Amino acid sequence: MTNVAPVIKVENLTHVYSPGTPFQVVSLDGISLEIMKGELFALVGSAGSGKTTLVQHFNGIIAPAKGKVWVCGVDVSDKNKRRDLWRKVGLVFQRPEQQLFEETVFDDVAFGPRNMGLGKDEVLGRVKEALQVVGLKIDEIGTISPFRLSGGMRRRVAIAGVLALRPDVLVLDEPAAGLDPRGRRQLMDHVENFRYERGVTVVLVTHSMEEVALRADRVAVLHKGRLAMGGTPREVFNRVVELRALGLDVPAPAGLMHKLRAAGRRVRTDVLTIDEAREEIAMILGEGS
Amino acid sequence: MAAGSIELINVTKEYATGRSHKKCALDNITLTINQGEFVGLVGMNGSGKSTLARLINGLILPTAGKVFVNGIDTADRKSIIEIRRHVGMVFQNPDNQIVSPIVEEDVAFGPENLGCYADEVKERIDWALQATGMDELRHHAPYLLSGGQKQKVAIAAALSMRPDYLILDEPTSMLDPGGKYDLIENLKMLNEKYGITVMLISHHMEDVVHADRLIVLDQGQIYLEGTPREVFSSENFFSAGFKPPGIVQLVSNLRKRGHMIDENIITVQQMVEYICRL
Repeated sequence: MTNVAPVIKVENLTHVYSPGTPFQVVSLDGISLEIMKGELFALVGSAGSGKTTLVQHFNGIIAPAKGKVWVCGVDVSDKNKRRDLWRKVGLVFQRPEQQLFEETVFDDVAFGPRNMGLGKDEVLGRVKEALQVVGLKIDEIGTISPFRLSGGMRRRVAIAGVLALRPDVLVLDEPAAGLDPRGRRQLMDHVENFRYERGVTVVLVTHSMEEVALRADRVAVLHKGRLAMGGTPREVFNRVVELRALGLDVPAPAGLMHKLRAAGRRVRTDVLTIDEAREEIAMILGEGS
Repeated sequence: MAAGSIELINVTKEYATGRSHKKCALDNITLTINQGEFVGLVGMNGSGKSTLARLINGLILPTAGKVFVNGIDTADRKSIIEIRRHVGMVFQNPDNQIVSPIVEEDVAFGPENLGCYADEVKERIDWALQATGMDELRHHAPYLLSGGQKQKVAIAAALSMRPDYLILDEPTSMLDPGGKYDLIENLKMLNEKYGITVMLISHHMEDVVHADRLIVLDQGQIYLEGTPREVFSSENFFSAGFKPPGIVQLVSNLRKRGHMIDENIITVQQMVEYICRL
């Protein structure tokens, strides 16, 4: 990831909700970070740490009050250019299925491309492709109402609506919350495939440390609006004590290794996966069969 | 129909999904939950978990079959208030069930509506807030609390009704790891110390490893049932698209490699203790 220009650059960003009132809340407090082209960048932090506020700056929903944000080299405080941001940065909100509104799945996914003023064939092509990316077929569900689909399918249709904009950056705010384990895995697999095929940058806001361990290139930890930690998942999850103090946790394999180390066993603590943990424990146990 | 239990007998629930379409959410389920148990309920989206929860406190009635709470038929609408006193419900999103601008008022809502005297209301609030660890925040506004704290307010409000049963429908799905851990510990304590029966619905297997019994629903039927360890080690559990908690995967992984590690291990703590005993 070196020698690549950042797709998103945040410098000393501060955001205060209801400033000057008794309800004033400092949501972001001097955040600086860079997100590189093509990477999967995870944002974690306990409830109220500022994750959602931060990503809402990326596509112009919130303008920076103090500090700077550049997206694809463009300063987002430039009002004229901010209008183009929604084409570059696709933001999938929490519970995006609540935003479905059209009568058919096709129309809902086509809403964005049509607003971009694209021709009929182009719109059709994009809708077809976007649905395919999330594992849905236009012939099967294009003409039915999105409200007749299951929760997991509705979620995928809503995400397809953002993919159809062909954004350079895809921001997903808790995309898998409330989905069952199978739906969660499938959705994240679709996102990863899309990323590899398109070279899209993905920003993932999540509470699932396992997902970060398995899928993220880098992770930033927010706490009370400040950047508390940053690095690769391996680096960050090796700092168990600090993470727990911030109301977070580490994936089970890492937690296990840290406890074993505390109990005096000589094991690596920077493990992320079950396979890595297995190798370490196999060493303690001696070669089995 | 013994007192001190929830019984579902041949329960089927169908929903109309169109003029002539019906969807069968629960298909001929028979199930008993005994007072004092901690039951985990898992299943994919659409497997019937929430329908089951709603049938138990009479929010909905079965299409066929019977549901009894402490021997009272939920179809007997005259007794519905009594059933709701026995069964407290907590939903996924606490914002949907918090009604008051101050924590202790929200917790008082239930007992006040029961017509309790002021002393009794106060006693119930004190207990419910103390049992959920929310005592210090009793004068705060719920909407300024974190998701985990709000979820505890919702639990305290349910507890103030002094229920025998507490049913929680995916209470952890919107919580951060710390909030989730706190909530599960709190439920374990309520179950062990106060004997409150807990039925916890979740998509996260780590949430239910401490349950006495785990029930897996699939397409409206009971697909698997047993202790968490029994369920996690079942081949059928895997083939239905579930994955056991990481530690259970690690244990079976090690066993496949020929390390005869204790297969009863289901938590990180148990694993650490096991290895340190070697």
